[in-house]
Amino acid sequence: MSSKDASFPASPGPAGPDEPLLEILGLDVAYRSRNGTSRPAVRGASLTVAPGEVVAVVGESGSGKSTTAHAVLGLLPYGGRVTGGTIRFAGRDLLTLGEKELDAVRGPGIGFIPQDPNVSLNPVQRIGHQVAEALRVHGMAVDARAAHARAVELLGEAGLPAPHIRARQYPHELSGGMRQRVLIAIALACRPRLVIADEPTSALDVTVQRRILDHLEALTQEHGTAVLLITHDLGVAADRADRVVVMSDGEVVEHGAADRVLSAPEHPYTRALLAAAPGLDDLPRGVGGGGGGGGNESGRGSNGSGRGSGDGGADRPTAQLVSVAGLVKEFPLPGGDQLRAVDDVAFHIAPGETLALVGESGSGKSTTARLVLGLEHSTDGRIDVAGTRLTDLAGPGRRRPRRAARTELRALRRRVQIVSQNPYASLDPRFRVADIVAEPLRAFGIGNRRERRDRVAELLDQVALPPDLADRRPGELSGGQRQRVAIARALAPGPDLVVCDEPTSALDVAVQAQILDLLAGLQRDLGVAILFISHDLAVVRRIAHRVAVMRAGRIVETGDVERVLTDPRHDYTRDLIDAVPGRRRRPGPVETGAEVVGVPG
Amino acid sequence: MARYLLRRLGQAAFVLWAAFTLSYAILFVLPGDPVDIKLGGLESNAAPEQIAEVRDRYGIGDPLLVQYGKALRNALAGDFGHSIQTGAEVRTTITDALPETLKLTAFALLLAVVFGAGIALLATYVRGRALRQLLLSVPAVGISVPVFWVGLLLIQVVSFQWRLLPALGNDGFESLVLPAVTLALPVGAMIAQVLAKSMTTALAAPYIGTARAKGAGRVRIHFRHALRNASLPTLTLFGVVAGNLVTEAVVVETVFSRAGLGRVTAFAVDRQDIPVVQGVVVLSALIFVAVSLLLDVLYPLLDPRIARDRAPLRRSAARASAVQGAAA
Repeated sequence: MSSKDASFPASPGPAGPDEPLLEILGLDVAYRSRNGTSRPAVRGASLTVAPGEVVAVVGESGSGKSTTAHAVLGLLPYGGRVTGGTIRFAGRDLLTLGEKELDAVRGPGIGFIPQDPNVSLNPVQRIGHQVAEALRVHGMAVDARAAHARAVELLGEAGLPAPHIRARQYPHELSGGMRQRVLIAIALACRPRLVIADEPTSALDVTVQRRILDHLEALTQEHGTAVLLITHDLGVAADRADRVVVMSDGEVVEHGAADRVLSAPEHPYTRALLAAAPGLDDLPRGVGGGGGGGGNESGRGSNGSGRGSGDGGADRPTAQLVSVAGLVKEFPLPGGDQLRAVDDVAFHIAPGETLALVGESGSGKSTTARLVLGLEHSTDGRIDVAGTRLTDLAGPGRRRPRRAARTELRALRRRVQIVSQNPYASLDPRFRVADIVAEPLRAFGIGNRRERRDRVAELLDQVALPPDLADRRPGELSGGQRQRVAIARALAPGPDLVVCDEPTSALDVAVQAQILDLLAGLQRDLGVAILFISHDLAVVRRIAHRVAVMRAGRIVETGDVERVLTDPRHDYTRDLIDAVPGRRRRPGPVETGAEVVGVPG
Repeated sequence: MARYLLRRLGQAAFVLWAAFTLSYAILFVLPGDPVDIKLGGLESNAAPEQIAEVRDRYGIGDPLLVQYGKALRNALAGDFGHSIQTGAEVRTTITDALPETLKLTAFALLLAVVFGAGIALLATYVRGRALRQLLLSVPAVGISVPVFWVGLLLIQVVSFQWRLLPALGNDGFESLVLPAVTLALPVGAMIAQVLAKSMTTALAAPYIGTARAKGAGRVRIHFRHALRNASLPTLTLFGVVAGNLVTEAVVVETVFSRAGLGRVTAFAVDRQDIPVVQGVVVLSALIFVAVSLLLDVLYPLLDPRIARDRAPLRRSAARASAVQGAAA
């Protein structure tokens, strides 16, 4: 299984008779840590890319896939060093080349598309200049004018509208999708024989992601460019690659034709990865087993009625926990304009129910969540949470005297808690886990010291964390453990509603699946309602009863999660569903071709 | 751009006014009476009429607000009155002393920037770990030794032992070297530290990876890509130290017995010569404000993300968070 000693035959795929374009053999990479010890990041990895072939390297964070890609280009971060193996590109061993010789390979030989377009362009140089530079350092333009003219052409080829105007702009004036197109133009400027794309679209919205990948595919096919695609997303790999290489813990555990690896995985790790990956073809929540829950054999008796609200919503006569109507939020823009981030939004959440707000960045879903939490004041409309009219308490609609409003708002805060997106940033690094979880209890004056300690132990048990973790600090925990701590903290004061703002988008797929199962299980046991913010329909399908699709500040479609995903009524919902990666190899719904706008910012 | 400049000019005028008023107020409440000092201190036996005559001449007898209003009006016209001690016009006292001090500070700034930036750029460019650490430790030493001590050490070694350069006085360029080096040392060290830090940060930024993947060489990456991104914090620091350098010159001019604004200031403070002190304070503020204004014009040219029609940091940050909040 481990390919350490596997002598790579030219593998299945269109390799052709001649030798592979890129051949990595037994690559070892280690990082030197601060105390002088060396930590291996890649161990004996081997893979090949034939001319014109698309090979995807798949794995979770820490699997060594990005390190492998960077080692090829000689771009390992500080402290990283190749300790063994060979990297042959077009017949030359890249590891033996000097800095100057390597510079000559970067660009004309191998192009590179980095991970995050938002930070990968020099912020103080114009777009056109940065594309032209790729040509000029290799003497591929006679003078600055010619380089600029060619740069504009390249930007046009990369699918940037009005390239001559864009060329004169700075990176911060372009949207994320546009910036990624600029980076593609840079990578392809010298017509390289191989492009290494390191998670090229992970930072982008799904609909943008699909269009960028389509465009990249068309360009590389046109020029016969080979692609080494680094991705954590099995769907992307399935859609785009001829062959797939699966990495885990620094080693290549499986490789082969994409269809074979993804339909009949041999290595247990690949199987686990495939099982954890959320897909639209999974069984939805509540139907069937619910996907091997987080250690609880369902406490369905506590609120079996929670499901009832799933099939429509309006037919439920009992009081709603959250009810929002005509909600508007405007932000002032420079120049006196108003940005309408939330525009006439209405929804409701029943006790014990999960409503998912789905949309791309800029759709207003997070702003809506902040309004419901009372962290932001609405411009217009009303929000009722657990019988309290939140919009009466603060902001322009405030009707109560300030002091009374403040007391009421505080009482409400106890009943509405939040789990935020990034568990690496939302926990105070100096607090112990026990202090973090106990903080809401202290803040609301719940219990005495001993009761609070018992409650913390109970909460840690509920989120399936070992009790000895209570004395650790966040820095010693993994991402998944941190998010469990954040969930325990949110549950501490016994809230009626937990707002989860993209709680799994910073986590690896396997961990993501565990956290989703945990949330679903806790909801069954405790009857807490969840407002779940997400950009990922596959995740939503796993966790939500109902879904509201947001776009440009408005809810365009709302309904039972099953109905919306199988029978979407709005064009935009259909577009979102089509853009979920991993659907190209299966018969899916016909493309709608609806125009989607790229929201800048 | 016009609006941005106008707002900056308005702020500059406010700072100048505040400096004037504050120095006026502080000197007013200080114990001791300048007229007493002029006439020979507490044990002087000047006749009361004589004292009254001097008081009248300097308007010290008027109500405070009247004195202040008069002084402010004159100051706006560049007239800070006459020195109580020497009777000379404050303006000429200052303008006579200024060129020597300007020469000293300008030369010191040049040395500080050349060597400070040089060390920072070299330290971040060299590959050897040991050499890099060595270079980076130089500025820390420069900051931690006090100016007067370095001055005395230089005089002792360079002038007395080696007899290379004159120790004291104002005789031509040679006498400028030691005081300028003394003055430049802490400033250059600060510049080196800040620039080295921001260069390290800039060189680790993802866009440097993009540039390297293009095949751009090390020199190009260092100077075309990293330096401009790293320059803003250094520029801010430069503004602060350049504005303060005239004040710092007081110590150095004393140690090296140089004529200049520093000596004038020390003398005037010692004898509570309010008009002279006030002239110096307003001049320092003026230099500070001018340098800041220059930097404010430079910032948007260096980094296009700093919009010209708003303050560099506070407002754009607020706007960014508002837009982000809306976009998230």
